[in-house]
Amino acid sequence: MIVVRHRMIKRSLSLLVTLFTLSSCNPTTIQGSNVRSNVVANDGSYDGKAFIYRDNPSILAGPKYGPKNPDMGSIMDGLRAELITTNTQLNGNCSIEFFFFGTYPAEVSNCIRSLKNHDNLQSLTRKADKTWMYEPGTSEFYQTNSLYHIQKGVNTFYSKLQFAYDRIHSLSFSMPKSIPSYLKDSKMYWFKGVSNTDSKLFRNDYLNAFAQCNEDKNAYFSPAGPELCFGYHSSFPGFYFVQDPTVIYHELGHALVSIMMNLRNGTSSSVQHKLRSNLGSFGYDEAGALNEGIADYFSFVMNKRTHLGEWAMGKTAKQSRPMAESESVHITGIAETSEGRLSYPQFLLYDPNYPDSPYEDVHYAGQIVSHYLVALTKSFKNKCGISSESNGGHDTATSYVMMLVAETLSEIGDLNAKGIDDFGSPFVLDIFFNNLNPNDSYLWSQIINQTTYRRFFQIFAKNIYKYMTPSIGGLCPAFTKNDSEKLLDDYGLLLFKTYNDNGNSSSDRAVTYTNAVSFIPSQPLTSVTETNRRKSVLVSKELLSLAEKTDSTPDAISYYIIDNRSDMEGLLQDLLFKGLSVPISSEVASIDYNNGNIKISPGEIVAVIPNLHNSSNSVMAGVQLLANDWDHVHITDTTTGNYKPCVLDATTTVDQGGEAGNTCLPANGYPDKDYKRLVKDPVTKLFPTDAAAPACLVQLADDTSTRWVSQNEFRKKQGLSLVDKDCLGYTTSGTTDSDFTFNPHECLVRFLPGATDAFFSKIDPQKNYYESVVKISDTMQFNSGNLLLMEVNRWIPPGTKFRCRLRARFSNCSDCYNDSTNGNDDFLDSDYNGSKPFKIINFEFDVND
Amino acid sequence: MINRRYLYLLTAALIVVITYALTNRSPERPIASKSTHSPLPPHSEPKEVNKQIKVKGRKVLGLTPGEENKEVEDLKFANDISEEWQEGVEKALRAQGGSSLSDIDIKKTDSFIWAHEGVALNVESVLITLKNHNGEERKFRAMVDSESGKILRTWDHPVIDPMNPRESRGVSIDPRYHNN
Repeated sequence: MIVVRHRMIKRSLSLLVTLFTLSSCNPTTIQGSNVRSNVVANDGSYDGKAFIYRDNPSILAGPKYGPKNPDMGSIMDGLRAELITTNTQLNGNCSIEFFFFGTYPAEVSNCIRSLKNHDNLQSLTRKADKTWMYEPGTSEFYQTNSLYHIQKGVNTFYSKLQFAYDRIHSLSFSMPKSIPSYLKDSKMYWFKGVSNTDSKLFRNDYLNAFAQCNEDKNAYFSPAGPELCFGYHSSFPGFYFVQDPTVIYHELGHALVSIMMNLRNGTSSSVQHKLRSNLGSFGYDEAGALNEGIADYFSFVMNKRTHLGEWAMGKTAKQSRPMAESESVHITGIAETSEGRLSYPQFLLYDPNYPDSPYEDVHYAGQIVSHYLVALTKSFKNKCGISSESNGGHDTATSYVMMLVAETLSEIGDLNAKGIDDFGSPFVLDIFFNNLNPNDSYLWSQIINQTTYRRFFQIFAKNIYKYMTPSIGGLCPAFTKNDSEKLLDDYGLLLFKTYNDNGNSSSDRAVTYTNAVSFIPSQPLTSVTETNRRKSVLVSKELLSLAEKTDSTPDAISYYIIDNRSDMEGLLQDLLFKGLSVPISSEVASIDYNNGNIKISPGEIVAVIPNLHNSSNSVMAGVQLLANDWDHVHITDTTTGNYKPCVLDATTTVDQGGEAGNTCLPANGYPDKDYKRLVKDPVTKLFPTDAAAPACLVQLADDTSTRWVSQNEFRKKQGLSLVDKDCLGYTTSGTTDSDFTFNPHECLVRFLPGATDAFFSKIDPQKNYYESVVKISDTMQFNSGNLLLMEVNRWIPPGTKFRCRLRARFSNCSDCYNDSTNGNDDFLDSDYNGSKPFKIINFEFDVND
Repeated sequence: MINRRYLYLLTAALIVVITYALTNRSPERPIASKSTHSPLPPHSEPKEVNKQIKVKGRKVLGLTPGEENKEVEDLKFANDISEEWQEGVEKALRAQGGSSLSDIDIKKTDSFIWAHEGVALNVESVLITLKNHNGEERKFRAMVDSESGKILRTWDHPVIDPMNPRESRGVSIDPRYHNN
């Protein structure tokens, strides 16, 4: 009550002062329910300025305020006008200074453009009185406020990036670093890589911010714009996301993640990698959860509050999010103690607002990340002598954390695949330490070895160890390796055995950093102190399998099929709107064949959700399932590309046509060092001798035996005689990119390119995924991230049997990442082309009407 | 006394020199290095990398450093450039999007040659904008075959933050799976 009264007095005083200020010297008309003033000439002190709201209405006017037609005039701070921009149009500027043997200022003018919506692409022009003061609640007012908060966020980010750059590049040259020293030249500190340098017609160095975007109950960041969009609520007139600065910071946080992920993807102002790295995909995955957690944390960086979205998500949907265990919204038991942390994987599905209703979503899972980052910030403040604000506590501690985040994301998103640099420039040699190689780096970094909590926090821990803890040159030697590992473990995130200090040496373990850059020595491997691992439980991949019906589990389903026509139509449309275009074959498969019998039938396009089972006594989390091509065959004939499947598990044996020798043996180069698909060379017209083959084999029965063979071999036997044009993926337009070239070895069934990986948040002990996540949710629905899309050729004879060799691993896996024969060093990138890091999941089915 | 006077003069001269240096530093010509920087490494000449080679006006990507000229001479092209690639892209998007889309916009942002293991592919980098019947808009990027318009890669998809994540579209289970 006292708090409420105090707030009311404060608000009234604020309004009085506002009125006084406005009536005495305000240069323009400002109206709100309680505010009105006349135009007063700007004496110059208001040039480029406007009154703004500093926080959201739930904080400034109290939790009971709103949500219908909020009076923003009473929310804004009428005491002090703030500089919006010195430009004559409502655009912001980005400037940063790099210190690398001299100070190099860099600036992108007009880097931010604040607009109303997609239908209004003309920036506002400064008013005649040289201010940006508009009536509260108007579109112009929101655009002005939007630019204020975005510019403030960008300035803060650049001060952190500058700190990171200067700090990292002031350290010894012999230390491998990720943020490139040539950042000023590449201009990748802004959205340079998405701009078209050749065309003046389509210039998009701008980050467009749409303050009143045409999105009902949504906000988003779109890297392809790049643009930020702040939507509205159709049921509450006058309610906008942009009224909540914490959401502006969150969305901007996604944009900054996109920048940090691509710091290494340009080498000069005109040379960038042809693609860009993203953190997260179309449905649930841990990369997306990391993105959400870091974006939440950026709101904390900006306003020091450990809660966000009280207005935009909290007011009508009760979905605001905390970032510290001390927040009152949490359930009993969550506390800032080792035992009470919001730990992985226990709290992956935790919604603090509805704790009894678990739900798989990146925003909930991301809370583990934001809580960890906030806890780390507090630890730095306590341990590094920066506990009080008088010595810059929050600013300094968040600079440390953002430095670690930037250095980590820079390494993760590296599509040029080199990992480290020569002095002042990339090294020239064709050696790679990260994401396999520049040609396949997108596939590796986004799908095959995609970012998970394990990958992110392993690199993050390495960077703490490199930049924070050393007694010489470390930013905070008092924050020891043990402190770091214990805090990670409190959050269940100590998911790795070593720091992988030497990178993934992409295809040859003997190649070290010194081979690429003579002054960077080979990096010794740092092991995690095992006694620090108390909450982070690692589990063997051998305990993961497809669910099976048994006496004790009579209801278990091995896999779910979605083949209902309208469901599939909606699903494909939804995926396209999220940015996933899948190349559907013409003539031989179509959703018109979908019959809704929850079986795989000829001609259908279906969604497959394998239901994985955890036989261990601990939770498995971050489970990834791959259905893409991989090296699992011995090619016996280069004119047809026909092959024998390698014997890699107990399921496919020599008796069933398997190959136990030849190119299936490590001694003979298994798995391939490069990723190459099993398609004809357009010049020699021959298939390669070693290649990654499609995941699905087909069963061929002849007079004497039953064998698992290539689909290419099958289609020409069994009286089928299917010609190329009757195969899936056939194209008449000539050979294209090898990843999309017609591949006769997937003539009958194939997983659609782009939809070949599925992700599952967690599987409880002795349960399957359905029981662990779907069954306990209110909606009883699968997430779009759980499914694989498959095409089925209409000409397949009924009864034909298929075996698809999928590969699975998970984040807290004890034997999916380390090579025990090499001191627990991480597997090489090229190892992910084979079976070693994965458990093979044999998905078998008959095609029947 | 004289020594002190010299000391003052020396200090003043130093201040003038430092002030001059600080106010006249050029962004492209560093004047000093921070004392925290380590000594230069043994060899420190920046190298020219990723030399941008063009064929018929298109940048060639994917060449081996140091081998660019030779590799370009030996390139075998796997496709041609056709005016109709854009139609191919739109057709593919319409096939998947069906009646849900009210508008499709395809903007070419770059054209280049993608070289890989001696084979060259003409590709277009495009920005795709889709609009639904609610007027909502989504953008993403794609790499497409310059001949057929086949979409080879998509990236830079939007990061969506719904007000309530629980209202995101999910995939329902057919009741026949768990009818008990």
